[in-house]
Amino acid sequence: MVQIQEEEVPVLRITDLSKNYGGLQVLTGIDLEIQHGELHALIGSNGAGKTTLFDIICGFIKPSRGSVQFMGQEVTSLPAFKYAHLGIGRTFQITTLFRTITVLDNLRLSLEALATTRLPFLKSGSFSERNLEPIIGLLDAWGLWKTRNVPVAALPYGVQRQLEIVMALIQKPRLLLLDEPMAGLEAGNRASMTKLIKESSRETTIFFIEHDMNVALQLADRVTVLHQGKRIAQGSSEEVQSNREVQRIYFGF
Amino acid sequence: MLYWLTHIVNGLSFGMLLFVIAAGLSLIFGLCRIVNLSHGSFYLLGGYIGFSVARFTGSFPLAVIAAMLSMAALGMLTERYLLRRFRVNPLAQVLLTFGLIFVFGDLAQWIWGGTPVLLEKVPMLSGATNIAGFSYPTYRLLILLIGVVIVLLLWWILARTRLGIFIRAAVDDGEMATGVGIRMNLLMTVTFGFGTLLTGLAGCIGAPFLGVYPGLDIEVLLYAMAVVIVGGLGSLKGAFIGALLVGILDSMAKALWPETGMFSMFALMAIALIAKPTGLFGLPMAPSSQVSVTEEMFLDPAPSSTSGSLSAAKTDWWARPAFAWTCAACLLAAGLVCPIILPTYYVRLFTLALIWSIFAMSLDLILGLGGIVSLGHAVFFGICAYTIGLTALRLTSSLFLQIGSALFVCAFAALVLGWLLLRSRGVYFMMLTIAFSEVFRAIAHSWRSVTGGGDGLAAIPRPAWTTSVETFYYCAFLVCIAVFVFLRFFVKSRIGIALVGIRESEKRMTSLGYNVERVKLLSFVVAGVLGGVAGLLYVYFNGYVSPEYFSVDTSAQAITMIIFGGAGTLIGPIIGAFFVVYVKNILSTVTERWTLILGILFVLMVIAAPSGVVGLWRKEWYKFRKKKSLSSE
Repeated sequence: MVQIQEEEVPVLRITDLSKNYGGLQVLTGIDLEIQHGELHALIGSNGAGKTTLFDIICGFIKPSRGSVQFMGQEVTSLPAFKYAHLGIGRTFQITTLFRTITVLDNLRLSLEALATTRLPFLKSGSFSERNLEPIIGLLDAWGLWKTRNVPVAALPYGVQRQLEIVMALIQKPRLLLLDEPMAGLEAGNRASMTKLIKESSRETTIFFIEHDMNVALQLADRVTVLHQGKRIAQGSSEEVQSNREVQRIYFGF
Repeated sequence: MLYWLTHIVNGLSFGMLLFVIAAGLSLIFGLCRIVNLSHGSFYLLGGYIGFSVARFTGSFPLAVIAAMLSMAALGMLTERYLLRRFRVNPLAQVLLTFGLIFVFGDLAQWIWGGTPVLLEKVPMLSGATNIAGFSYPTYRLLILLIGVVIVLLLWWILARTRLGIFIRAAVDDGEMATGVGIRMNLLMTVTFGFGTLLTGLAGCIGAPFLGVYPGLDIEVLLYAMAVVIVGGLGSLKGAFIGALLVGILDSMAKALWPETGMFSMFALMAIALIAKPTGLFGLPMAPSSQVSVTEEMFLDPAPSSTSGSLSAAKTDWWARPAFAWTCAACLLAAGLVCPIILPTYYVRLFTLALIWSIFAMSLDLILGLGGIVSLGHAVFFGICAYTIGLTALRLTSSLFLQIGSALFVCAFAALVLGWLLLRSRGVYFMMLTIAFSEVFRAIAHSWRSVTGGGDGLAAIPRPAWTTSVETFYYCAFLVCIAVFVFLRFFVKSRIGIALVGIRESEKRMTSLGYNVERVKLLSFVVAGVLGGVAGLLYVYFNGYVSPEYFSVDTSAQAITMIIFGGAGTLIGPIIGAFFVVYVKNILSTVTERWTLILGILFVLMVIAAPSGVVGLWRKEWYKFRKKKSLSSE
């Protein structure tokens, strides 16, 4: 196998990606590249195809045309569960944590997912001290340690959203997809979420959907703007802000 | 040529009857988002009421009207007083309609008896009509006509009337419909009543040529489900085309190969499933239409042991492992001495309860833990029992070979069925499991040369060393403990934990990197084989096999046990099994109506304590502990 130089190949390269349901064109000819270590935002109004694009990147939906390459490897036709093994983690727009079980067990599920063992039904699902360590570290860092034995359903919404990201982070993904991490958060929580995203972006490449143009421009290194299934702009915050079409659609100039 | 024409027209008229039934089912699903499993029961009751009214008044039209109105009323009452309270919990609704099958079925048998009744045809319609040299029974043509009229009527109602617009809006998006001021509660009740009205009508007009007899409810349900599985739920076009396909295929197959009977249905559903898991014209499976799992219904199977030890607080005596071990040891000792101190009668009863415990636990693995609602787990019970019967009677006297081949066949069947059925999910999966178990029953019934038909296989020899009641009890006891210990390991293993995760959110498990399909298939096969183990013990215990082993009753009993004991636990099904076996035994000595009483009990359990005895116990225990910890502070 040829060792790929991580820095040279873009983490994610999407070429000429289209998706249609019957006659309904959801995405048209999307090209996108995300470089190593980037904090990349995806902006677009309702129905722009943001979540569909995410679903394609992590394999839930197969595109009608075009390809997705992850670390230089063609992944378009892989089954969805393989994506996490390659290093693509994601969160969902609507929190889908496992509500009846505790925070710690949620994280355990996440950690165990990537353990490759034969005869998994012979392996106990409970923790050994060895694999507990990364969890302790992360929970401490995110200030969630004291909630470890609480069933997720009992946690406040803001904490649940944070936990979702922790669940994805614990797998040490090389690309983390966040679907509207700020959605439904109040001002205080938004600030801490912003901080958390900034901090985690030092360790991994992050691609996130944001509804609010200002938040996205302020937070991200680079921004992609979708409109009605087409990519209308891409670049740094300044470039996107000065883009004619973006101005026309978002700022009403 | 004429022969074929007759069968095609036969198939068409049967298809029309099926359309009337399936249209009701589909309409109810579209609006209320549940599959009314008691739909066949409404058909049965409609037929019986039509029969009684026709006999009493001598008028067939009056009978039809009476059947329609009474079924509409019964349907609306069911919706209003039983189903409405569980609007947010579709699983409870489906289980309720499942329980009603037995309540209605036994009630009908109580009132109208066990022998088939045939509604006399109207004299004017009993002859044959001659169309261009082709003579055909007038009554069948009338059914064809009624079918066409109902198609047009439904189309007109849905497309042209105010009610139709409401229904279409609500089917599309229930919340939105509420938002624009449609009274959803009323609309659901009315639609449910309308669906059962159609079924009652079908029951009455079908009675003159199909007859009405106990067991017809399940048969009709099976046909209706085949129609919607092929055509798709929630769509009238799907119901229409599915009904015609099923009707024609069924009458052709019965004419060509009478032995195969239900097998053609099996093939049709399998093909439809592989081609399109949601039927030809089915509504896409929106999240709301899936049988979703609520927290109240299922209990966390294995509260993490380590999270307990991580908390530094001193553990109370009941939380220590020593306490649990003492309890287990006491139970074990009680189980071991009971054949010595109890009379033979109770030893036999407990043996039966142990066998049922195994079966219920195996079903609970996928139902309670995985949230995979299979209502046809009896398939594995029956397959194993039949394999044992056949090998023991015809092939070999070696116990090892008998059991080995039975488990092998069972595992293979579980693998194939799992691969086929797990492609679909939610309500489709549920319907398919019922349908397939009934298809197996029908095959066992009609494949007389191998399975012995309705009589089954009798005088299956039990291995010589287990002939005494006590020895067999100890065998069952050991197997039950082995299964319990195995399942306990399984539940706590990675696969077990992944299964719980899948129950909560399949999508997230996939995105975390779990191979959801494989985990589900593996659990399905394990559950199937363990269900087979129960069937194997049962056949040695009873010494005979009959097609009833495959019936929905068998699965229903296991589900009753699970619901009673507490879904998602391992001890729950055992408690439930002992309770149900014991109660059934007492009831059957007092009254013949024990199915009715068990059915009512089932419905009451679903309503009052959906998390079962273990759930109630945990709730009270939690309260007690909380109180205690408060008072000690």
